[in-house]
Amino acid sequence: MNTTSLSDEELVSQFRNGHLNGGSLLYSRYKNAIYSFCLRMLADSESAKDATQETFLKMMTKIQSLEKGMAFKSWLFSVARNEVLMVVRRGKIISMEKYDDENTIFDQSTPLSITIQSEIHDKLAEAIRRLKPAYREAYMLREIEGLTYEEIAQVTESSVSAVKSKLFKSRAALNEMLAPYM
Amino acid sequence: MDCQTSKEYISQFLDNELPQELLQPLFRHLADCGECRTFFVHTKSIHDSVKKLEYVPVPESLDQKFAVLGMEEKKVSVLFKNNFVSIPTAILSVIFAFMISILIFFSLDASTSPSAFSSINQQALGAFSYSMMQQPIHLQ
Repeated sequence: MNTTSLSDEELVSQFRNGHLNGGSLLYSRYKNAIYSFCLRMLADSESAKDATQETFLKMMTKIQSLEKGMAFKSWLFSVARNEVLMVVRRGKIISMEKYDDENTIFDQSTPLSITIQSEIHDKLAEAIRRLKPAYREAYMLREIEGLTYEEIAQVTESSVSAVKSKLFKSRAALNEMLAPYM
Repeated sequence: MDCQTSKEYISQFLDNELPQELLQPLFRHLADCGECRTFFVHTKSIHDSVKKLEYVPVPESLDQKFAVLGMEEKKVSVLFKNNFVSIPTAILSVIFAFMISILIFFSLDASTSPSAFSSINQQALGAFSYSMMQQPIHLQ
C-alpha cells in the first residue's frame, strides 16, 4: 500500500496504535506548513524552530487527546498556535496586548516602500508579516492552509463571525498596503 | 447595499463562503460601484498571489531530531541512513571486536600447549575475522 496516499485520519489511527511510521508521515506532511506558520507569526527562525519542535513533540505525546470529529490539521495548528503564544509569553517577541489589539490591523510604523524593494511575493510576504498577529493567523490559516471558517474559529478559539471580520479587515489592510504596487 | 457590506461579501465570496442568494445583490452593486470593483480586483489579485507563496522548509537539524519516528517500519536498515550509528563508530566497533578476538585467541593459546585445539582456535579466529570483514559498512 502506498502510505503517502493515506488520509490524515488513517495515519493518526496508525500512530495511535503504535505504528511510528504514521507519525513520521504526519511529520513529513506538515513540518514545512507548521514551521512556515510559526515563522510568519514570530518572525524569528530560532523561535519558530523551537515552536515547531514543541508542536511535533506534543503531537507525539498528546495524539490521544485529539477528539473524534476534529480534523487533525486543525488540531495540529491549534497546538502550533499555543506554542507560538508560549514563545510570545516567554520571549517578548510580541506583547500580548499587541497580539489582541483590535484598534489597528497592521503595523503602520514602517512604510512598505522602505522595507521592501524586491519582487511582488516578497512584498506580499512582508505585508502579511505586518498584519497584527490575530489578523495574520486568521489570514494565513485561510489563505495558505485552506482551513474553513469553522476550523479557524476552533484553532483560534473564537467565533465564526469574528473570523469573517478578521479576514475582511486583513484583506482590506493588505489592499491598502499593496495598493502602490498594483 | 453599501460599500462596507459589499467589501465584506467580496471577502466571503473569495472564500466560497458567500450564500448563493447574496451573489446577485453583490454583483449588481459591483456593476454600479467603481470603488468596490477596484477592491474586488485588487483583493482577488492578492488572494491569487498568496496561493503561490511557498512554505519555508523546516531546518535540517529539526528533521534529524524527528527521524527516529521512522524507525519501526524501516527497522535496522535505517540505522546508518539516519546517522543513528555514525560511520566512525561503526569502524571503531569492528576494530574493537577484532582486537577482542585476538586477545581471546592469545589467552587461550597461552593456557594450552600447541595442539590441534590451538589450530582449531586459529581456524575459528580466521573465520570470525573473515565474517567481520564481510559486515557491510553503509556509507552515506
